[in-house]
Amino acid sequence: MSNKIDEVRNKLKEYNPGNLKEKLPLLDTLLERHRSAAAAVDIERAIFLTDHLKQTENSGIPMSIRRSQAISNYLSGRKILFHDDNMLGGATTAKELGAPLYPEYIGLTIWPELKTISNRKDNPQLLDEKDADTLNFDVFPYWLDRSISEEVRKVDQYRQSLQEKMIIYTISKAATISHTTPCYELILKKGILGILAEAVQNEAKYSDDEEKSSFYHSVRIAMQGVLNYAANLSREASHLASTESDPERKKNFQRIADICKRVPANPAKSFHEAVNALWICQVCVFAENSNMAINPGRLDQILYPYFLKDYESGQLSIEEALNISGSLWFKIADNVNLVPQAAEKLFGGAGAVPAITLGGVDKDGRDAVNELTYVLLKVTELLPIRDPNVNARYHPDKNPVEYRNEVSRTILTNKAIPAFFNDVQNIRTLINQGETLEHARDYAVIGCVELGSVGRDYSASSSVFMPMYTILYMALHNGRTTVTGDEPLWKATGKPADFKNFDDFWKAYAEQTRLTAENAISLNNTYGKKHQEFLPTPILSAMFHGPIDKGKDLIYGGSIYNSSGVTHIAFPDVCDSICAIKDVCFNVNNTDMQMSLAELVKAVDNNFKGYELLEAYLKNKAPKYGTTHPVAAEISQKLIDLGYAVFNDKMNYRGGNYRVAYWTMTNHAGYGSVTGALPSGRKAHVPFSSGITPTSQIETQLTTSLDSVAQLDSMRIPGAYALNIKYSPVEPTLENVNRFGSVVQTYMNHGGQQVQFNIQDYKTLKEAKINPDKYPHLLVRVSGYSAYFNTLNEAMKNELITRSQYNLSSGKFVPLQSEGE
Amino acid sequence: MGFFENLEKRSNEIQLSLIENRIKALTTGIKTEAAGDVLDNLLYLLLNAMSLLFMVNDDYRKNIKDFSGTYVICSKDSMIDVSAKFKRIRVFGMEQDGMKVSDKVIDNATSTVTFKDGKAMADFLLSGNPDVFVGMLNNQLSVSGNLNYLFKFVYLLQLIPDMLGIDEFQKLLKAS
Repeated sequence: MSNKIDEVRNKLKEYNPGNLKEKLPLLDTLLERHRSAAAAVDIERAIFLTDHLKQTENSGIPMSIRRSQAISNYLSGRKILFHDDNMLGGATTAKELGAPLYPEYIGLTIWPELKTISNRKDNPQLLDEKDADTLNFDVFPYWLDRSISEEVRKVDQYRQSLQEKMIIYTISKAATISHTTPCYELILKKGILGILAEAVQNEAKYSDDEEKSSFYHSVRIAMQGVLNYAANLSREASHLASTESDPERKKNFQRIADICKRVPANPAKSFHEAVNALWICQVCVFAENSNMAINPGRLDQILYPYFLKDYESGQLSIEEALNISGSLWFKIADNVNLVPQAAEKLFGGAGAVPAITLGGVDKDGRDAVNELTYVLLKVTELLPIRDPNVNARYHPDKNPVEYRNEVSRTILTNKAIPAFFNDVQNIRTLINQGETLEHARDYAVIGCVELGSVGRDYSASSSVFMPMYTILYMALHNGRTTVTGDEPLWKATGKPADFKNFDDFWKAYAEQTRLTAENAISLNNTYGKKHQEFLPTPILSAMFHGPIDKGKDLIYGGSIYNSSGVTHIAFPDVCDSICAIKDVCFNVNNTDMQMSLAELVKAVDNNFKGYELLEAYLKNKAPKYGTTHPVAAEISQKLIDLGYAVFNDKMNYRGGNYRVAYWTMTNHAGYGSVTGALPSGRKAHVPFSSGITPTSQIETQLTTSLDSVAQLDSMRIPGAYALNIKYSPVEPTLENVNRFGSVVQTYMNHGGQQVQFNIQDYKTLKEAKINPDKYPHLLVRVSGYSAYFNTLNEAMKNELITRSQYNLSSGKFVPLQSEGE
Repeated sequence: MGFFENLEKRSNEIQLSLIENRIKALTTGIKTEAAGDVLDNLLYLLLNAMSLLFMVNDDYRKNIKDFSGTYVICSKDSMIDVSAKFKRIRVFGMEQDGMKVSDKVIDNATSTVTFKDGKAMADFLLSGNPDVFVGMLNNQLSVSGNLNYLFKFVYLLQLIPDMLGIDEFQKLLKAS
């Protein structure tokens, strides 16, 4: 480790959460303010967009230009507000904590709630009467037949109606263009004016190519909007500086005015400029696309040259670096998603999940950990807030142990963040997906856990949600589902009594998986085509490698890589269920419990009423994923192989493929709470296990559980997975930190891709559920992102409480009942 | 004011009074139906009340300015079959936005909701906070056609209790 890194690390030791108020009063004030801000619905963008589209309805102007004009108008005309002393200019919305409404996606789902959303029980979002009336009378009527789901319904009513059954599949394109990492480095180096010049030049060059010239024209319009927005920020900050009497505030406003006058129009020259330019670009991307998992990326890499120059020249102190970086953290956290109350049931408590990635290796394979990595880790430790979602890449052979331990210490201190990602496995996995070595090495985490090369892969990584429990239900009920009547949905694949052996059952399961995948892909591709028709993305495209060179918007395949992501819900529960089927119904050597599959299905459909012995056997003795049982190892890999086989080679509407993943946000809890029993012994309405995490409360050593996950072939999980581990709280002593880091490293050496932690015990979480006011800011790791415990729905709280807890020193499982529960 | 104007005014007053009386009767009917065991007629009463409210309440009618949409609401057990069509209608001799209710299903509705049964429908309509997605998740209802139209309809429905002088719809159900 270099002397300079040591020097910075030593300086950072001065700061800890206990002395935030004294050492970094700005961040302390911003933290208090952030915590007290109530989420409010912001409709400003919706008004600009709707008005412009209405005005140009029959103008003959192509949609790509109309939409670009609308977004540019919004950026140029939106309110400019400075709510606090944050050191950066720009905000996602006009509200201090805003939930922007996107009428072209799912904005209209809150129509029934216009009078009640401010007071609803779960995560209310303030909406005043005037804004509610504007939505009701002026905005929503325009979109009745024009929201993207309705455009899709016009061409594929059948599959769209199945999506609305909620449990067949979910195509997130109904709600978003997102889940990708732009290349903000491009803007920092070229400036918006540089991009604009390229667009102007190319528009002239390709004037005889209508598609290309139209794309460049849309970029030109959009970039002008970005420039206008920054100019307005500068003007307003300057005005506030001129009227402010407090000298510190005056200075801050003037500095913001100066910075926004220069960037992002021009290449950044300082750390402060680079951070603010990046943030303004992120705001502008949100103006065009929805505020969901658009990721700032590898901040310790793209901001490092600016940090180093300023730090070395003495223009930037560590204190200033912390204040500027902390200001960015609060800016990133200035927005939440607008969701209807039913979605709160399924996704409740989620932030916008913008992921920041630290550490790992650089494009040449060298250790990329630098001074700024440690500064940003310190900010993560000091500011335990929901967003951003901070992730630490770790390459056991290239990154120093000191870094591994600093990440570990940060997790033990703030009890949740960051998550660990294994560079060795993840780079191999991306190369296997066709990315070059250099591009694979430059991956960033997307949203929850997904992987994508920064600014090169428009990965749309949350495109499809596959509910594995529905597929299992279909395989056990001759192709029927609980929501589509008595006939098989796709195909009759046999009744339980028809299956003579396990292979017969497996064939049915595989066929139902294949058919569900086929239909989900078809609908996702239809959505993609409609995105192309109605929702072009000139701003996002300008911030990627590829579109400006190719003259092609990102959503037409302008990026270098064009994958889509598919995640699976209830993998552990379905895996355990299939293990149970093999063990109880098709294992002639099982002397403890044997039963026909038809009888087992009957027991499951009756929620084990009258089958209590069977239930006990399934819970306690049947093979379980997360143990050393060979059947569990075999079935878990079989499921991974199947998911990969049905998706990986399928082509999406941009010419890319479908990358399989296993993360669940809070879906596993929400969907579990509305789903019947499973052959695993899980009773009806109990949350599923999160991500790829083995089912809770199976008494096993942590290392056994970790190994069972690490052994899965990560090459077949290119979208990555979320593994949740809960440790009993311990002090972050050197010994504990080292042990923590060693466990992670061993897991990675065995092949583990990702792991994230909650440092909590059963008792605290139970108390927090009963007395939420005592734990107002308790931060927990859900399945790929962080959330405030109090904002989660009951099912998710219960799932977090009952997650297996392990003792760090011994690695032993702590049973739920052992703490006097 | 001439004879014919006077006659027209008087006629309008009588019609208005009749409508208001009809709304009162429907309100009583809604309360009675909700408190009973068989809820199959509840929707029809509610929609009729809604239709009359559009006729006489200018503020409420603003919500359906130039709006055209057709809804079918039915139950799986075929005990409920109601449709509502938003269109221009004549009221007091003038054309205005309105809604026509029928106890027959119409083809090609913009949005069709099928409830599991009368109870599921009443639970939804009178919940005070009807949630289409939760209803679908819990298998209480299914929807075909345009969901946005349904969202609008649910919003319109929620404005009714106030106008009928009912504190909360939900309280009606509690009595049942």
